Amino acid sequence: MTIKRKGATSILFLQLLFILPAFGLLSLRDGKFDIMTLVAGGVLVFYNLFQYNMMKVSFKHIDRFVLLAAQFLWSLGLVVLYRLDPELALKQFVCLLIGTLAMIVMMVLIRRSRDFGRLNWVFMGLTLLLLASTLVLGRTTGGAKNWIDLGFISVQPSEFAKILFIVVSAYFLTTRDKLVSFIPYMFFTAVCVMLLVVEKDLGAALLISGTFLIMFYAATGRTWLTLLGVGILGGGAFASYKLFSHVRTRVEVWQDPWSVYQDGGYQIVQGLMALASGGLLGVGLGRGMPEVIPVRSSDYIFAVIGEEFGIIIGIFVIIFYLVFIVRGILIALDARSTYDALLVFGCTAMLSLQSFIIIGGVIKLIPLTGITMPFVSYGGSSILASMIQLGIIEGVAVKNGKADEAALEMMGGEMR
Amino acid sequence: MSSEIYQTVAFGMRYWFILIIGLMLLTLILVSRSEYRERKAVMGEVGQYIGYLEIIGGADDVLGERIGIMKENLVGNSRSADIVIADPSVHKNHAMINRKKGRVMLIPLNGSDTKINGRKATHPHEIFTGDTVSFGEIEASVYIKPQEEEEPHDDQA
Repeated sequence: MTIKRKGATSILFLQLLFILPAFGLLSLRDGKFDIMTLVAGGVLVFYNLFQYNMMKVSFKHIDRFVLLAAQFLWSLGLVVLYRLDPELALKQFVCLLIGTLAMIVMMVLIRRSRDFGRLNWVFMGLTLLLLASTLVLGRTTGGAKNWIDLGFISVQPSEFAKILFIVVSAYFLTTRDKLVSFIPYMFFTAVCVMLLVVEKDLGAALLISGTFLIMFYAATGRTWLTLLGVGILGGGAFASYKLFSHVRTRVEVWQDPWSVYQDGGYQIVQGLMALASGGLLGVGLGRGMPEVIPVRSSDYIFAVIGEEFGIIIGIFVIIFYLVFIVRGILIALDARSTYDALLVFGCTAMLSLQSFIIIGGVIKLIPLTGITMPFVSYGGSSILASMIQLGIIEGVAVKNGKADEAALEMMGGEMR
Repeated sequence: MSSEIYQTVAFGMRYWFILIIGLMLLTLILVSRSEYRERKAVMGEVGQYIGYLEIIGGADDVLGERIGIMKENLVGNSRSADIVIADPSVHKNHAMINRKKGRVMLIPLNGSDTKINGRKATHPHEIFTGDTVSFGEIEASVYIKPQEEEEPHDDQA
C-alpha cells in the first residue's frame, strides 16, 4: 500500500512560461528594452519556485494544489500591478513576503488549534476593538471609513477582524448545541455587521454576514434557522437601504449606472467598458486603457484583467478560485476535528464569497461593494489576510496528512 | 516604430497567455483529481482494517509481513482467502477472524492446527492486541485498533 503523490513540476513550468513572457512583454513596452522588468519577472519566478519547494520540504503534507492555485493568482495580480505601476508591484511583493511568513506562523499555530477556544473571549473583544477602532481613528477612502493611518503604513483592520470572526465562529459552533447558548454569538455577529455598515464598509458587512450564514448551516444543518437568518439578512439589507443614503446610492447606481455616469456610476461604467473593449481575447497586455478605471489596482483589478487578458482568462481566474474552493472543502471534510473542519470551511467560504462579491460587483451582477479580490488585488492588509487564511487551510491539510500517514504506516504502507 | 512592434507582439501574445493559463488550469485539475482519487482509494482500504497480523515466525519469505484484518476474514493459503498466508502448513480454509459486537473472535475451521498464545484452539476465542496466534507453522502477533476510532466505519458498513 503506497500513496505516491503526484509531481507538480509541469504546473510550475507552465507558471514560468506565463510569468517570464508576460514580464518580457512589459519590458519592451516603452519602446526600448528595460532589463529591470525582466529581472522583476525572474525574481517572481524564483520566489514562487523557492516558496513551493521550501513549503514542500518543511511541511511534507502541505496541500500543494491549493498553494499552486494561490501562486497563479498572485502572479497574475503582480503582472497586472507591474503593468499599472511598477512601484505598486514592488510594494505588493514585499507584502507577499510578509504574508508568506504570516502563513507559516499560522500553519505552526494551527497545530494547537484546540487551545484557541480558551482565548475565545479575547478574540471576540479584539474583533470588536478592531472594527470599532476605525470609527474613531479611521480615514475615509472611496466612501468607506475603513483605514487606519499609522504614519508610515495604513492598515485596514476589518481584514484581520474577519479572520478572527472565523476563529470565534468555529469555536461557538463546535462547543454549543442548544439554541439559547448561541445567543452571545448571534449578538456578536450582529454587532460586527452593524459596525461595518455604520463605517460604510458594506463589502465587509456582506462578507461577514454571508460567512456567518454558510458556517452556521454547515455546522448545525438547521435549514429553517438558516433560512430565517437569510430573511433577517435580507430584512437588514432592506432596512439599511431605507435608512442609509449611501446604501441607496449603491443600489440605484447598480440598477442604472449609465444615467449617473458623471458621478456615482462612473466606476461601474468604466469597468463595464473595459470588459467590453477587452472582449473574449482581450486587447493585449499593455494595450488597454486602465488609467480611466478608478481603484484599478485593488477592487477593480478584475476589470483590468478583463480588458487586457480577455474574458476567457477572466473565466480561468474564476475557475482557479473554484479549484481553490474545492480543495479547501475537501480538506475541511477530511479534518479530524470539527473545530479544524469549521476553521477551514470558514476560510474557504470567506475567500469564495469575497471573490464572488467583487467579481459580481465588477460585472454588474450584484450591487458593487468595495472589497478586494483575494490574492490578486493590491493591498497589504488584504494580501496578508488572504495569506493567513491560506495558512489556516494548509495547516489543517498538514494535520490531515500526518494522521493519514500514521494510519497508513501502521498497516506497513507509506506515503511518498 | 518600436511601439508598433510592441503593439503587434502584445496582440499576438494574447493567444499564448490563454493557451498557457488554460493548460495550467487543466493540469492542476487533472493532477489534483487523480491524486485525490488514489489517496481516497488507499485510505479507504486502510480504513476498512480493524487491525493487523504481523508474521513473526515461519518461513523467511513471509516473515515481518503485515496483513490487515477486516471485519470478516477467512485465513487460508488460497488466493480467495482474505488473509492469505502462502505456506504449505496452512489449510485452504484454515480459520476465520470476525468482529462481532466489538469483540474480535478467532474461529478455527475443520479442526485445523490453530493456536492462541501457544495453546491449541478448537473453539472460537476472543483475541486481543499482543496475542500470538499460529496457523500451522506460521506465527503472527495480533494488533487490534482501539474501538473508538472504528465506530464511524461500522456505521458506514
